[in-house]
Amino acid sequence: MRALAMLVSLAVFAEALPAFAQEEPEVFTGDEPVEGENVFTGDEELPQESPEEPPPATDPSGWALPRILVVPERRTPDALIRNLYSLLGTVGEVVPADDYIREARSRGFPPEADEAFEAVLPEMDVELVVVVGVRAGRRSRRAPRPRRVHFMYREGQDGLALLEEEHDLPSDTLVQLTADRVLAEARLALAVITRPRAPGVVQEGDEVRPVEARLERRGPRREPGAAVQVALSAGGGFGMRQFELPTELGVVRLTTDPFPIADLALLFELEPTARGQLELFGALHYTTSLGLRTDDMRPDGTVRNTASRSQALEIAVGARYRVVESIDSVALGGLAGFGVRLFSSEAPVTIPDYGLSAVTIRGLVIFPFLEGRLELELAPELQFIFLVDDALTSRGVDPFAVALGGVARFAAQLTGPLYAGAIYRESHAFLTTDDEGAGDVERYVSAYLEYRP
Amino acid sequence: MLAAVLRRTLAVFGLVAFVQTAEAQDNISTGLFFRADTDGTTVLSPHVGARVGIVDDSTWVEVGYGADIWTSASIDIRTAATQVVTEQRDEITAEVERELDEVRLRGSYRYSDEHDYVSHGGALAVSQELADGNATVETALSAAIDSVSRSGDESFARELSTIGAKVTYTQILDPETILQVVYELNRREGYQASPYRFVGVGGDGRCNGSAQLCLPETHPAVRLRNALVLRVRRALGADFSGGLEYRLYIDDWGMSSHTAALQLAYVVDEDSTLMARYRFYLQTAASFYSPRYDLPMGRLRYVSRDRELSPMDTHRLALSYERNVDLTDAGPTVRFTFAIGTALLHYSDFVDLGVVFAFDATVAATVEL
Repeated sequence: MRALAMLVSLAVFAEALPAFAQEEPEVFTGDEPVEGENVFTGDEELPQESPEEPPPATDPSGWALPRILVVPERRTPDALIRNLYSLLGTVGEVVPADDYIREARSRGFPPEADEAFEAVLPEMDVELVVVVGVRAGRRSRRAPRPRRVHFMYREGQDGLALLEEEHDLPSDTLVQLTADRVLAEARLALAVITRPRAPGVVQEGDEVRPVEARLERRGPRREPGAAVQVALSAGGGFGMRQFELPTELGVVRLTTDPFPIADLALLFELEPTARGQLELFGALHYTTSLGLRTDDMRPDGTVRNTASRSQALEIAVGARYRVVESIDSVALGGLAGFGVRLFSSEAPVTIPDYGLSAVTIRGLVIFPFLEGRLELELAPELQFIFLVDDALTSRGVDPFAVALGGVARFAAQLTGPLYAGAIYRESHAFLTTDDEGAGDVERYVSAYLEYRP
Repeated sequence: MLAAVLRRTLAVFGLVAFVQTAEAQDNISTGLFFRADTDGTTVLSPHVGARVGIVDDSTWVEVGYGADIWTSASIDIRTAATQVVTEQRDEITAEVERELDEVRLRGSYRYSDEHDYVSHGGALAVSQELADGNATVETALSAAIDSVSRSGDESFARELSTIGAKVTYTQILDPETILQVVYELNRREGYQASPYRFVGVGGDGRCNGSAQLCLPETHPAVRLRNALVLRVRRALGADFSGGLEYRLYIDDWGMSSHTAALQLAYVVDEDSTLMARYRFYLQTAASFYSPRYDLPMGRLRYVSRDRELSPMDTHRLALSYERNVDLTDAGPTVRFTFAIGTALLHYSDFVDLGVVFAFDATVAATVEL
């Protein structure tokens, strides 16, 4: 019944639009009155046509398959999505929804919401949208709950709903009968969509109704909600570590040459209102040396080369605030967290294995460029060291100290989910001992790739 | 058709991995595993990874990083009379998978590094669907090269190479039942002992006890291992599923083992599943293993103080809970997994070690696009 109602509305819609069926390209007969620049007055010099080879009425080189965006609702089986890709691939060019979903979520809308289509589709260049989801049937005590597959066919420019259908789904893929029906539905929907969508379809002076007026709304207009982003980054670069500790036998000193490092980070971002001014985030950042070897000068004057490891781990939460409500706006912010930096050696050496644990406070200034596709971040940092390993306290190092440093980061968007960037960090810990000061310096530079699904 | 029905049934019960279907969705995953036992060993294993679909969503690339931070004062450490040891092993994995209609190709690489052990490993697998998807055969070949060294002894360097093959046959018996048979053959050649373990000969078997002679642990250079696994899973009504598993292992060191496992899953609601699993394991000792070696009249060829080569049995019970949560109305969805387990390990013929209790916990999250 619902399908029938939709077909009726479809027929009305088809009358309202200058529709061209996919299989029937536009053909000019020469009898149509043409307005504007193309109107012939009879005074023009007509082009000479070769009587042997009359020009084709249409140029086939401009033909293209319609682009069909397949938007799966959450928890749609993977096999069903792949099944649809191959099925709809017979009537058009299938466009996976990854970019669309990412963009819709970044604007705070569920991907299947009218507002998401309205906001994102104008940037997508697709003719038809097929939203597919799975609905649970009536629950049974003896067998897994039966399911139905639900389709919503939408126009590709602004998401206008064209047709809604539902079929049985006994497995994760469509049975042949359902597949045939889905194919027919897709063809029917394509038949009422104006194509090709090119400059000139809407002429100057045509009445263009606002999108809101054309969309068939099922409820009140949805406001942008929260947007969540999770990112994982991995990189490599070079680091240096310096350590100095006065002892009764003299100053114990570690100075390394630049050594390779690996750098991993996990980031969680929350915008309470998508693309609003406030953003909250949490971050986990781990850095470790790779293949670091150090020379240890022993009291007897001999040098022992040993494998060592320099590591840093930081977990932090913070916020940043865009100064004006624009994605291009400079943002200010800060974070607070816990950080620990470690140094250890494989064999017992003069420099003890030690760790410094600290509360980290970092200010943030972020400069976005090109609508956020490039970003420069500067972050001065202050650490309150509150825990020093026994290996140092037993040598007279005070457990409380401060460290000063900062982070500079640059990132650029390569493709939708992939970013590349570079980060530089330097931190000087000023440790105090009974007699003199001691210090630990950590610095590294790393190039990284970041993935944001 | 039947395959798809069953796959859906099993997916409901969180048993998709059993059918070896790849997750098509891009995701980022992270997790933390913790284990502690009464033998003085604790292990902390964080992990992060990402899976990305490329090339028309029929090719996937997966990369991961994991670490084992291991602190031990176990019987091995105590016997060697050394202090508590803390070590870290880092591992990087990469995998590429490509789906070509009914064939699935997979190649993977693994690099593992700790200061006295480096390992490179790789595998190639081909999976073919048969009988309209009602059966699947997967063949996998693997190889690894390990370098073993000893802390504080730069002159010690040994190699270990491993090659293996695995054939997995999965058959759908009916819309609610699936059967799987796995055979695995594995050949290891090279250094397979511990560079830190010494074996007391004569006396009570302990180097720091009354042993008259103390020898470095020595194992045969070649080991051929065979394993045969049978698994059955069945949906039990709308909310439950159960699984049974048996594994037989035999190698040419004279060891054999039997593993039996029982699993029960309950679908709490559309987004959450609760699972319980019990596993029993029983093994015999290697032919050259002895808790105490007497002073030989001639040459003593192999000596071992590896508890993994001694006769033992274990009981393990684990509970896990999995829940899908939408972070916002717009997504994304996060799948949280919480698991706890407890095990009892019984060493029936090992000097100074009888029963060990172990506890483990896992927290993991996967964010899906």
